[in-house]
Amino acid sequence: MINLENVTKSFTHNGQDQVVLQDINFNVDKGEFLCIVGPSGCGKTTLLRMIAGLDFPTNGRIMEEETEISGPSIERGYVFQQYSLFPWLNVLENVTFGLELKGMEEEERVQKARSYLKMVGLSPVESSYPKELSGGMKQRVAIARSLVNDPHVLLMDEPFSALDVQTRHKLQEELVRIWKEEQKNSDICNP
Amino acid sequence: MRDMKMRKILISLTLPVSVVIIWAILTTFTGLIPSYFLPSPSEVLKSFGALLVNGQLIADTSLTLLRVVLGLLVSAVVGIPLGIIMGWSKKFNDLTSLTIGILRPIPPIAWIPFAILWFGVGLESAIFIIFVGSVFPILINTMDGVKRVDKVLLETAYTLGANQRQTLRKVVLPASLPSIVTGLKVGVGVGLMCTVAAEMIGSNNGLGYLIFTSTSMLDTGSAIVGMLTIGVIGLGADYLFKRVEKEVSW
Repeated sequence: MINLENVTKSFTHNGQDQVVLQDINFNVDKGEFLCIVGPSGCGKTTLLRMIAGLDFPTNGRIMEEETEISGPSIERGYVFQQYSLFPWLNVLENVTFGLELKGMEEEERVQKARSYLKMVGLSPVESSYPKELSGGMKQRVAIARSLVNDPHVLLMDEPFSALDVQTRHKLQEELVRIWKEEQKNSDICNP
Repeated sequence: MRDMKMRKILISLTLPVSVVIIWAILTTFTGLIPSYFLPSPSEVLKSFGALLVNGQLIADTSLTLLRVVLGLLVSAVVGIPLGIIMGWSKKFNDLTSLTIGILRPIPPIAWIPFAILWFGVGLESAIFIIFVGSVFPILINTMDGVKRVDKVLLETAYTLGANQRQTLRKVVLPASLPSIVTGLKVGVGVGLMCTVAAEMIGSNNGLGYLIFTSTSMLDTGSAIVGMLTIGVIGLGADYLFKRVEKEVSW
């Protein structure tokens, strides 16, 4: 589904080329859950951003279903490490954002968003605004906002790193549960 | 809670009330300042009553307000989209920043002769002056707001399938709304100053005209009524925009 072929990424820093990733090869198949681990600064985020289409490899290529990734797509959901909810939209409106862009009817998109909010356990706060939510709740909304679009793959960049240990463990377990419920897509995670 | 509010109102009234008392002492009660130099509070009140009864104050105030609102509207229609494009596209910013940098410091009042030459004495002329004064704060604030939009929100929009136009409309515009409102707030203040200045020179009505003609006829009481009216309008506009600012501070 997602294939990385000799992916190399280098950044120019003070006139010097710095190779961050070199000749990375792997495949992710449908229904797989892949975690990328490594010390901080080793290029995990860069790798995920390239799969998302937010960044591009210096050499090599990244394929999704036989086509080279040329930019961001709704088929590759992304959960950022930072809080990324739109602060002027409430929880439900945040989750329906992508569906609305697709042109889905209001009734249908609200119904769909509600089912995903239920899955992440946030039905009671659907009309709250991001600033009223805790950090863990914000990231759960962000996950629901990506999953509601039925992406082929969900990319998560340390989504729980800003949370306390207890909450993080709870959400990681919950994530595995959600993934089991949603067997159709694969997840690449950077825990 | 209500006590706190009452206290706040009382504290903020202390200074203006003391000023009026000192003013009255210096004019009416001791005659230290002659009335042709500074009219006493009671004379100002008398002028206020007269202007209210003959309808001139309401007519001039509404004319000035109309000019400010229309001028600000034109500034918003030009300044907000231009500011968004300048903040969004580096190329467009490079193209326009020098021109704007030169035009911006020119005092709006310096445009008055040309405004009269091009538009004659009247509404269009005043709107032009207000536009020249208020378009830059609106433009610059909008541009700054757009430049400061969190990159994560933009990338989020892209990964949710938004194209550039949708991102501008659904993310950049709401995210920079607080800055746009601030720009409008500053623009109203500048606009009000410009209107009055324009009315003093190229007009035959409005609060600026009222102040200018009253002083030249030594009716200083009416002039102070006009000045205080402008102050109250400015205060009201500021209050209004502060409310809106609070509403959009995400």
